[in-house]
Amino acid sequence: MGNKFDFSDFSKQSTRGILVYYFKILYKIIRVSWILIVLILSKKSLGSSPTYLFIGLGIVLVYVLVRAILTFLNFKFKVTDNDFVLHKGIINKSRIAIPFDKIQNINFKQNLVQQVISVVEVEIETAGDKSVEIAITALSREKAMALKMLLLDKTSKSKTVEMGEGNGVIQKISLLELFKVSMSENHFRSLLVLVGLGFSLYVQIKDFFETIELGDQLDVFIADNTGAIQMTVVLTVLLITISFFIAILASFFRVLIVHFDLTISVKNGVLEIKQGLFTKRNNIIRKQKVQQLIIATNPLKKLLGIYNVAFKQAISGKQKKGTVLHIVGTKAPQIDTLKKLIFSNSDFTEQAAYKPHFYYKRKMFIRSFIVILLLNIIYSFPHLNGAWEWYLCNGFLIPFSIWMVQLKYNKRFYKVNEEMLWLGSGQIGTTDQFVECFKIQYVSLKQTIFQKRYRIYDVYIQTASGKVRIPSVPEKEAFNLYDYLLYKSQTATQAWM
Amino acid sequence: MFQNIQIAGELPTVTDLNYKRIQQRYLIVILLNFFMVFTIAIGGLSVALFNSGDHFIMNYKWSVILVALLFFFFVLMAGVLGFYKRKYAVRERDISYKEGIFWASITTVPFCRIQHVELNEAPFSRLFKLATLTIYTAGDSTSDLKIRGLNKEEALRIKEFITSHINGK
Repeated sequence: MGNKFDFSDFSKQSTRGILVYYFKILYKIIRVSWILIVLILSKKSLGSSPTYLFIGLGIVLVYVLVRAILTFLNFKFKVTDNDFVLHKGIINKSRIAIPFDKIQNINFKQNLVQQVISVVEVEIETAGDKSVEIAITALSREKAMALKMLLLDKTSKSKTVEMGEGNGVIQKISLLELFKVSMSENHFRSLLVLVGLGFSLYVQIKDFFETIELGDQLDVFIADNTGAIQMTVVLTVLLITISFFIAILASFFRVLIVHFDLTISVKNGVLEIKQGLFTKRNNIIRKQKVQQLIIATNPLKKLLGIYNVAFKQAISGKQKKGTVLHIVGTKAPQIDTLKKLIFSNSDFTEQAAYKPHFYYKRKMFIRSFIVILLLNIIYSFPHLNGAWEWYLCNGFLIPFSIWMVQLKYNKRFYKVNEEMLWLGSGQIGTTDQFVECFKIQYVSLKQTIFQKRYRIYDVYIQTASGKVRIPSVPEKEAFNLYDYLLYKSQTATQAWM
Repeated sequence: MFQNIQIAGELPTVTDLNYKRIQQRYLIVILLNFFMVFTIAIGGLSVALFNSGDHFIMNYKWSVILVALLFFFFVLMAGVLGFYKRKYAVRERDISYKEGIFWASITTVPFCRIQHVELNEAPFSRLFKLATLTIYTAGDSTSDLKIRGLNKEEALRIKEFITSHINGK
């Protein structure tokens, strides 16, 4: 397969790449100036002089085309004996050489344009704190595969740890399953995201109007219109129902767009995840890079027997995105397979679960008590006088918070086996976190002045993909765990990343 | 605890470590830093309060200053008492540091996970030949372990020790 293409000499991308660049640049311009465009289009003066508008538009489109062609012409790459070489940039020329042992992964990506003209984007993930992103925007699939094979072949010498044997598809999600996943998502979160999105849009528009000194008018306009609306109970209920419906719809589209056609497969001992509707992502997961495995579910999902799984990978340098990979709708046996692939020993059958000290529960009780107390003080404010009905809220709030605290305490535990740490948490949902002991960066014990009386500590475990906390562990147990984790990370012979 | 886990021999433990206190001179640096902030803050506050034309503020200016003084007294006490809690220990394979009164913490970083070590000298510390040792590991946190108020030679020695361990790998 590799013979078909010669990478030892400089080669350019597929000519179709100009189109991809064209749309990328156009998109960038529109994203920056969309308010301006809307404003120009809505101007009444438009009718009098449309010629200028078309000339302006023409100039912009020609500029984009020239820029796309130049970007394309100035982009070339080759594979030498020791590294992958990339030359790019129109005015700011950059020449990048990546040694093979720095290459971590090669991922494919396809956005809508790339799908239509059938080219793939090749992303090369590197180790170390390089902030440059290395991506080849448009290659034909065959050429991309050939390049990937060649690079993987060259880099495999430096790879020591391989995943277990076995080929085949672990999970392939159907549209129906995807529908189930999206229906059982946390819709409150989608609602919050929507509200946040709406708010930021409002702020953005307001900012813009303010710069052209129309801010006051906008506020007046909004105030007038809200004043006209009679906020009756019926309307509120209606509003909540509608926004909830929108939230469900939003969940559905989010899941569909990100996880469409999710396929998890093992090829030559490498875990490969493909997903996405408009932008198809093809990620390779290397065993060493996974620092945490997080498995989450909620009562609805539990009923359907499906879980959301997140692979938290090591953050290298400034590169933040793409370090957490989410998959959805995974069933229990598939999770077992994944665990066996990634971890050397994920057997916890003989290990006892350690619960937090009673202090943890008491602290949560006190916190919710303070919140309820504050609410009751608010009820007693004079402007609400006579409205004793407010106190009825307590009848609901008190049992509800007790139940919530109980749930949270009951779901908290941790287990340790020879190689791994398993943290359970959750309240309404349930989350299981798996961390391999030898991948730990460092450990901390923290103790507030209140915890000191009970001789308990919070254990913080720092991994290359973030902190993990085990709350309220009794002193002796905490120090044992501390020593054990340190011992494990110091005596590890495997690479942690 | 963890009876099921077999380890050859006794596990090394941090409970019986010989912690060293940081240099006594660093207390002076803490005090100097404190009084610098204190003077600027209280000075600025007084100027602002006494020049204010507002009646309400004029009536309460002494109580505001009193509250500010109490706050600074509390910060000073925490700073001084906290100084005696700052201890560190270097073992063959890791470095530990503990600090804090209200929020006490112990952190141990194994040498084999350290990405790089930094030695800083702030103006006041330089005056007293003190240095700050900052240790970075992989991950998202900006700095992972910071030991202030070390003797400069001692800090250099620790840095060399860690660097040689990293490069020796």
